[in-house]
Amino acid sequence: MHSTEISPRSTVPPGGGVFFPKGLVIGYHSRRRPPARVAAFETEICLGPGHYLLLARNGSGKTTLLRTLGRLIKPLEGAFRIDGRLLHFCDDLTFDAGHKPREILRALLDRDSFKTSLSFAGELELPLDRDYATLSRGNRQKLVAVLGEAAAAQREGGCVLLFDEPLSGLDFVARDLVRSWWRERKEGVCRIVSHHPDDATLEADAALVIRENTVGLVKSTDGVLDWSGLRHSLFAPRSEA
Amino acid sequence: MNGLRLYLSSLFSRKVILVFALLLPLLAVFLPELAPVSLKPSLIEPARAQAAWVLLWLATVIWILVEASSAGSRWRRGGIFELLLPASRARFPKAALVLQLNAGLLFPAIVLLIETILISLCLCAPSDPAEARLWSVTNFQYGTLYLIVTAPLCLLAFSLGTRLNPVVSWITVAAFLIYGLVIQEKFAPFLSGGGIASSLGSLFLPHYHLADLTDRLVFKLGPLPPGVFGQFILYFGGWGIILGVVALTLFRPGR
Repeated sequence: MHSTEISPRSTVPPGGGVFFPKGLVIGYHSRRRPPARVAAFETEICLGPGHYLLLARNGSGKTTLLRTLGRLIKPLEGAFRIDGRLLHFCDDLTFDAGHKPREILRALLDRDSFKTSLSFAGELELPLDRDYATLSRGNRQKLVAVLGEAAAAQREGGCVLLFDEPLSGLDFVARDLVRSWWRERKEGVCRIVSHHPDDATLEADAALVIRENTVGLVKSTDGVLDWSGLRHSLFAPRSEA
Repeated sequence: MNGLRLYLSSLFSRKVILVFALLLPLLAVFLPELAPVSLKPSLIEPARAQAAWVLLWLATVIWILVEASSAGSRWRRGGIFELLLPASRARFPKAALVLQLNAGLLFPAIVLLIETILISLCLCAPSDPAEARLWSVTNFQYGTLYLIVTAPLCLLAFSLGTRLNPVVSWITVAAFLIYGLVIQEKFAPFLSGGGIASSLGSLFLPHYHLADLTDRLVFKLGPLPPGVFGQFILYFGGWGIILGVVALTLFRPGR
C-alpha cells in the first residue's frame, strides 16, 4: 500500500488496482513558476485487476500520469490510491551495456520468478546471453515484457504494472504473444499500458483517455475498444469531438 | 526488484573489479622492488605495506568514485530508478534505495580493502609477536577509518552523478577527498599564510589525512590510542552524516 492515498480501502477492488478520486490533478510543480497542470480527473475512476490502455495524443500527459502513479511526480491536487505492488517500466528503460538479459532477470527477480521468466523469454525468442548494448529495440522491449510478466506471475496480494508504450518496437508475432499473455493473466494484476491509438485492434477492458486536459474512462465491448470512436474523439478538431 | 543485486551483477559482468583486484596485490608486491632495497632489505616489508595502502587510496580516487558517479548518471538516464523506486516496500523508499545501492558501490572498496589488509598482515607484519599484534591493530584501525571516509564519499559521488555530468561529479568528490587527504596536511605550512580562505578551508573542510595511518605502519609507530581512535571515528562519522544528508537531498531518481 502506498503513501499517496486518501480514499477508503474499500474503493479499490482487491488484488491489484488503482483508485483515482474526482479532483485529482496531475502536472509539474515548479519553484519559480506556477505549477503546470497537465490533466485532471473530473469523475472518480476505479481500476481493478485487468488490462487498461492509456490513450492520448503526443504531449497530452500519458507519461506524466504514469510517472505520477510511479511516485516520481507528486499530484498537484488530490491523491490516488494503489493496492498491490507497483512496477513502472518507462518507455526507454535501459540497462548497463555489458549486462546480459539472463543476468538482469536473475538479479531483479526472485528464484521462482526467474524460472518463470525463462519460459516467457523462450516463448518470445528473447536472446538471453547477448550483451544488452547489442539488443535491438524490439528485443529490449521483449525483456521489459518478460520482466513485468514474470514479476507479476508469482506476486501475492496483487500487482499494478505500468508500461509506457511497450509494444511500439515489437514485430506483430511478439505483439500478439504479449497481448495473449495480458488476456490470459488478468487475475490479481492491473496493467495500465500507454499506447498510441493507431492500432485497429485495441484489446483492453477499458481505456483511460486524456483529452483536453481531462482524464476519462472508456469501457470496451467484449474486451475490444471502439477504435474508430476513440480515434475520432482523440484526433478530431475540438468543435467536432 | 533488488537494486543491490542488479548493481553487483552489472559490476561483475563488466569485470573491471577483476583488473583492480589482480593489479593491487601485484603492484603492492612488485613496486617496492623497483627501489634500491638491496641497500637495506628490512625496508621492503614496510614499503610493501605503504604501497598497498597508497594503491588503495589511488584505486578509490581513480575507480571507485568514478564508478559511483557513472552509476548514478547511467541509471538515472536509463530509467532504472523509475523501476526500482515504486517497487520498494520501504517506508522511505528513496533513502532505502540510495543506501541499498551504496552498499553495492562500497563492495569493490571492501574487496580491495580486504586484499590490502591481507597483504599488510601476511607479507609485511613484523616477526616479533608483540609488534605483530600492534601491527594488526593498526591495520584494523586503518581499515575502519578508510571505510568511514569512503562510504559517504561514494554516496555523494553517486547522488551528484544523478544531477550532473559524471565527470563533473567525479572531479568534485575526488577534489574533496584529495584536499582533505593530501592538501590539508602536506600543504598546510603554505596555506597557513594564505589568509582567511585557507583558515576557513582548514576549519570547515574535512581533515581526511587523519584517517591515513600509512606513516604509522611504515615507521612502526603502533596503533592510535583508543581515545584518539574513538574521536576520529566520531569526527568522520559526523562528516559521514553531513555528506549522507547532502547526498540524499541531491539524489534525483527521475529524468
